[in-house]
Amino acid sequence: MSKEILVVKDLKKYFATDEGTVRAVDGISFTINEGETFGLVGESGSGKSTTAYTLMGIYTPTAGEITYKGMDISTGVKKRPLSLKKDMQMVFQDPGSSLNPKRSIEQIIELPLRVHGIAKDERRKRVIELLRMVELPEDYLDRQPTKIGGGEKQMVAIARALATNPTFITLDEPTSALDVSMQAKIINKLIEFQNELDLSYLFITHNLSLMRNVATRVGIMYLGKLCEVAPTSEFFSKPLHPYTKMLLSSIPVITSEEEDVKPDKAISRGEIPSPVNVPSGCYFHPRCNECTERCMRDDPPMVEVEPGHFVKCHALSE
Amino acid sequence: MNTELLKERWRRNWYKFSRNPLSILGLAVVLSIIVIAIFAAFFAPYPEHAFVFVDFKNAKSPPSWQHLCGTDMAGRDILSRIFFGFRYSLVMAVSVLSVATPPGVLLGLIAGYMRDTWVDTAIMRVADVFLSVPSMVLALAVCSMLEPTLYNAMLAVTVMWWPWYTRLVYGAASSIKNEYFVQAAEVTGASTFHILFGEIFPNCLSTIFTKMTLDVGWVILIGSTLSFVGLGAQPPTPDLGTMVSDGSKYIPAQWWISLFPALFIVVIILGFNLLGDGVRDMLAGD
Amino acid sequence: MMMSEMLVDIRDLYVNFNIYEGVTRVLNGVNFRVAKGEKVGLIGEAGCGKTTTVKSIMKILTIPPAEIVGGEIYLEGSDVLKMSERDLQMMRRRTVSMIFQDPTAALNPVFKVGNQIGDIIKYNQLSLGRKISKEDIHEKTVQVLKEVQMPDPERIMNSYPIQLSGGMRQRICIAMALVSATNLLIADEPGTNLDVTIQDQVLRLLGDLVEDHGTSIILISHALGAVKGLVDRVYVMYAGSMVEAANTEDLFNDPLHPYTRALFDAVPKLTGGGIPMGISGRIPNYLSPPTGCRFNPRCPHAKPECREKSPPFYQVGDGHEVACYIYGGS
Repeated sequence: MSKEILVVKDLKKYFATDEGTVRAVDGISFTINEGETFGLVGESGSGKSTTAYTLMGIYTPTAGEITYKGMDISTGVKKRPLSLKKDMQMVFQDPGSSLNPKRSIEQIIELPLRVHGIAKDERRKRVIELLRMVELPEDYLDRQPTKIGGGEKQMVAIARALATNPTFITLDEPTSALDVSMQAKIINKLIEFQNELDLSYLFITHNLSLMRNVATRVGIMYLGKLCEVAPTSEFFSKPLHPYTKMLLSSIPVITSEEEDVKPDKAISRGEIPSPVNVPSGCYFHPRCNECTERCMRDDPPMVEVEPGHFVKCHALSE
Repeated sequence: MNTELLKERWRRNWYKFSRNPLSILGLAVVLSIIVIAIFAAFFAPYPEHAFVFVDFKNAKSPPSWQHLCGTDMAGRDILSRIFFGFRYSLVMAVSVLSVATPPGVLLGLIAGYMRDTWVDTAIMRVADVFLSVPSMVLALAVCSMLEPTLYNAMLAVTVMWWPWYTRLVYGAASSIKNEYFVQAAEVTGASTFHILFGEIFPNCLSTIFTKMTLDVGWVILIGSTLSFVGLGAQPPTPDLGTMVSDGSKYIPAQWWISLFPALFIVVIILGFNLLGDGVRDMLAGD
Repeated sequence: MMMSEMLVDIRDLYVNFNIYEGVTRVLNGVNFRVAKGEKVGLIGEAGCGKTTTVKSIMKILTIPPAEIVGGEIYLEGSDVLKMSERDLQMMRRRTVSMIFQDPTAALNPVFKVGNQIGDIIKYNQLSLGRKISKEDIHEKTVQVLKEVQMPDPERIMNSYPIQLSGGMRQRICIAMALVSATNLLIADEPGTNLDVTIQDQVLRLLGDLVEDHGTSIILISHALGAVKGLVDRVYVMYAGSMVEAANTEDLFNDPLHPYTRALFDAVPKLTGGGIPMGISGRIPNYLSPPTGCRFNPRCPHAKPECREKSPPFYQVGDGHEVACYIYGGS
């Protein structure tokens, strides 16, 4: 039984806007074990990115608890101890804007080292080492991000995340903006680093085919709530939640073998409601083919229907 | 290796700048004005006419080969005075902008980064107060409270100029602070100082610099207007605005006394505006 | 090659871009054909020239810095490159319409959606020499909004783009493309910025509408699976030229070109199997592209002749063409 490195309990993050309160994350609980890749999947408005940002401290939680290596970290990043920031790092979604266009690659990668008090020549050595690890040439040190390709920018972002030898890295859609061949290269590198450096990943993507091959366990979110959490192979071979099934059945795939493993076509209906106006009861009920009276009234609890497999659905927790 | 990349960058910048021939024109005009201003004594046909000089025999003579812009009511060569006048215009622009911009930018950075907090409200409301008073009125008010000198005119314009930069940088900073690279810096634990000056500020530079170049024209115009109404440089200083004002009594008969200084004010402003457009084009695609 | 049968016939198109660093040879002899009523997919990675190719069809490339340096583009039998500006405008209004990748950027934020659709209807009718009344425009707008399955068309017509979701905006763009009753619809990555379930809906809608109206469609995407469900025939593009073309079934079951194979291999599979290795090397620098077949530096089967001359399309089986010396030639 692996040790838990991150425990999230009933996390909530609400935003006050002109139109009302946006319940971006509305009470989710999950754990991440050491050395594993926990995948968080969901569409826009699901709250997966907000979850990541709250875990990293960019947002302060509205309610709930986040425990990292036994320490309570439910605060914003400014209040967190420096040692924590050394240990938890993040790779962002859009490589174009996650690197400051006005700074050189060297300056970008060495920033975490500077913040944590590493001396200048030590820093340079480390930056060169990191560039070598991500297979970028040394003469990239003086280049500006605008002069390198999208995939290479993301490699720089990864190098930056690895600079301080963290234990935990959040990856928010790290390859969504990239082509298939670049994606393959980067994901391979990430897996390599995970094995060599004993890293734990929180991996967020909407690309389910990618998730299938990357994550140890997967959680799917809808409108701020976690619908289902399961080990990867079970998540894909035996999806239980209607939303999971709907999502899996609409993935575009290219081989007939993949078509065969997809659940029966649950024709996706409707739009994702605005997070300001969440439906009553179970949030998914307006789009669900198996909706009952009860679903419109009560929010279902999260139930462990099989070891390690959790679902939030009335139909299944009966 | 660094210098190589720098040279490359400037070559590319020049390429972007030079695409529009008008920008080159602007640059040429501005460079000429600067050179003439510095070496006015060399370029002016009658350098001794610049300040105190009288020659009533030649007073009010129309433009001729000896006096390309004619002479004024005291017999001074207008062209020479104009060349010396460039100095005052440029000094005005440089001093006002170098004093007004830093505090304006700093406040804008802080307010933008701390958007939607009391700091934001405090700074921006103060800026709003300054911006809501019509600039000329404010400048006039300051000038009339103090002695009318060029120095005080510069002070007046500086006082009302800084909030424009605050507003400009506020807009830029508040959107830049949401960029992923700023959040990456926060997640890493960078200090607020670093985030403001190391991350956000470099991305505001092009907007600031473009505005400064375009502002030169405005500052000179306002300065000239202040001199025109008698609140800036006093005669016999060959300030362009003062010259227009002095010559206004002689319109239309001796039209050249006001016209040429006014024309050159237009030329300076136009030159800086064209240059500013070119600077904007050059920095835009970054 | 029966010219009149083809709706779109691009032959040996060469397009350069003149930029600061020099001349980028973006399109390197593109051959591309779409028959009347046919649904064609165009797949390839970023920067391979897909968008440049379709923009050439409508001649909406920015010239300069773009420069068409060779080849011919026939649209409904007429040479686009020789058309007058007036004829081009007519063509853009009546023959071809385009849906862009980012629906938010394609809609004018300060005008109501109904007005934007209405404008297209009006100009379309004007180009046919007809005037149309406001009531008729209103009616047509409501009708087309219903066709794209918008709930409550009246309310949508009075909304601004910013008030609508991404999926809805993309449907508005589709409506705008449909309303011009054109023969050819070009959809450039229509689902990429949308969620998977919404993308699914949008692509199915596109497929149904294209069937109903008998329109030809060119669907561009780098999402291979999205293309598979919708089109009859697929072109694969790499670094400025088409490397393979086949019926959809044939291409996905039996990809022939080394690049196509590598591309399909690089896609993570839903069935598991880990992350593939990716394609070694990088996409060429268009300032100094490789000679001959542009894929040769990265190709595991490269031969000396591949570096000398670009291979032509070889016919392999029914409608399956590959630009690779493995399948023909010397």
